[in-house]
Amino acid sequence: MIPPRIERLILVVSLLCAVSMLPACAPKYQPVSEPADSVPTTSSHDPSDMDSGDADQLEEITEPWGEPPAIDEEDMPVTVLQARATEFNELQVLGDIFFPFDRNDLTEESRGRLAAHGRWLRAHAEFGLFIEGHCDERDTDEYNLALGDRRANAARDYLILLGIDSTRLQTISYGEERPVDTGHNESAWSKNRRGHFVVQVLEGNANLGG
Amino acid sequence: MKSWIRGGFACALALLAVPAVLTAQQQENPTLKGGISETGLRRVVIAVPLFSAPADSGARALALEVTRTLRNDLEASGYFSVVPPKHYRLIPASAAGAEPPFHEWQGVGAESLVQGSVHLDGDRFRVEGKLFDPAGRQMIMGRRYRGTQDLGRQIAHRMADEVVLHYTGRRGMAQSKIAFVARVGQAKEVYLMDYDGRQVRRLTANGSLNLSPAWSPDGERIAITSYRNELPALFLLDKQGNLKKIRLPNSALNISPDWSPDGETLAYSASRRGNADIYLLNVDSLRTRRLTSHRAIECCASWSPTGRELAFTSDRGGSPQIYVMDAEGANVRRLTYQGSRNDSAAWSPQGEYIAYVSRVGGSFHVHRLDLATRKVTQLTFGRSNNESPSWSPDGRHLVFASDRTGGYDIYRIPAGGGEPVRLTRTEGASAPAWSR
Repeated sequence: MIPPRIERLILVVSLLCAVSMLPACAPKYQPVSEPADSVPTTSSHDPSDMDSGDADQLEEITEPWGEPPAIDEEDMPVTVLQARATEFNELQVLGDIFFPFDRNDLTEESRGRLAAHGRWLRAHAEFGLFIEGHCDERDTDEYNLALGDRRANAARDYLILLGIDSTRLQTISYGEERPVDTGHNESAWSKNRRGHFVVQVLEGNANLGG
Repeated sequence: MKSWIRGGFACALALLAVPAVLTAQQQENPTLKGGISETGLRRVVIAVPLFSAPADSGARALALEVTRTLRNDLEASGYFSVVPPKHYRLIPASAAGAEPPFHEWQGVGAESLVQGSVHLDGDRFRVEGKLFDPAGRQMIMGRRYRGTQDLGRQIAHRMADEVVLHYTGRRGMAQSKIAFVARVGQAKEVYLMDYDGRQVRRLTANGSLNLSPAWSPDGERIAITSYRNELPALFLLDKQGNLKKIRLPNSALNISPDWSPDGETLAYSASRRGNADIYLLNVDSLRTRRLTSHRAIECCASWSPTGRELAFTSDRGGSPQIYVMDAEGANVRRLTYQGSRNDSAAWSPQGEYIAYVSRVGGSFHVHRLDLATRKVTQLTFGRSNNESPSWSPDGRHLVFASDRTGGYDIYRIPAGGGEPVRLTRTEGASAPAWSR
């Protein structure tokens, strides 16, 4: 049996608690029709002399990340050899080779084409190759950079096997960044999974007027 | 009243009052736990009336911008539910030096209240904000900031993070930034934006491919892969816009940088004659160390927040999958067993999850792996391609790139799952990296 005094206490406390819960039950939103942008006006009286709280410190806000320096472009003089290299590339004398999805295997067709490229290189001793590896869009950007690098090196290794001096062959991967066909189907993708060959003048020959 | 009826009545009321007591306590101290919670995380109801300003158009426009930004930040944080402004416009702004009308604020359901003002201060502006507890009828904290007018959003972000810190004990994300890559003609340049997609600014301007930005933990530098010098190399970008190349032993391919939690080491992937492996670079001494030496592709490393392990992608099993190894390169374990292709691991800031992408029905979707339970949760759906997840500093949100509108843009999604919010509108933005 609960003593009467305690009983009364429980009643009072319970009522108080129940009452204090009321505001959370159903927030009473008052619908209003004031315009959206009225900013309450204050007097120019400075509120900083309000007491209480730690409003003493004044933080300076700055914005650190700046604009990049402007692009610095140099014009390089073009030698005769470089002009020839440009012409070879525009004429696409060395055609692309193509790869199956997610692989760097050389098909028989690819090997035949690489053999032709090897013969061209033997006939044009002043030039070397930049071998580009490309991918279709389907894997992630970064994975494709690595896969493109594998493809470029697969072509390079085969040319070395054919007797081309390794110092004439450089590789670069563009991953999925430079598609020739931006379609989203196998027709486009198969065109993008490629090794591409860019003729360049060899280092030592760069300055030859020839 | 008979004593037993009185007793029963009192006991019944006492039982009813117990949840009332608990709720009342929650109202007085609505501290919230952090972490991802799909259910049951109750948002604190907060009111943010328009900041007051003297009758000067510059200050009034700033007051409006600060208020709106603060409201958006608090709502976006996931911890607060902002009372729609139309419900309290009739509550008078308290005069300077006076207490806000707490009772009226409680009347619209506000458990928390921010009031502020904007004043001219020479050639700059001073913004003052105060956080109140209406139920306790007291001010919790006050802050004052000064800056130029163009920094109104930054001031609001700072205030929002202070409020979040008070309620959760954790830093908010409102001041954080997202670096990303956007197509500019044939080139790709690195950009920076606020966490909410605003204030986009360009960080590189070299006209080449600039890829995969990675923040240093102190936020002072961003590592990128750039083709600026013809071959893909690692560069460090600083706040002044300077791009500095890192000299590395393998010159042909250096990609996917990720900074260790102590800021001293960069993990990256380099290729030796067509075989990409994970390397570590000491940023000060520039000494490098090879971690993997498998014939397969190894790339895309992500440090654990302890600095003792790295998650990475390897196709040693025949297709790209996520693996984990320790920081010496030993103890390699496979993590992903669902889905044909898994890539792009991102370790959460508190260490409990790894976000990554998994091939589902022909395209990539963002997934979350719980490391303790090994439970996998898919976060994006549909026919789009979704890549490069990156965590918010508080571990409650992810950004990723998605081509759901045709071209790629950056989206934000709660890490527990939910509706993605679009942050960029370029149809050519990718590789988001959230500052730490």
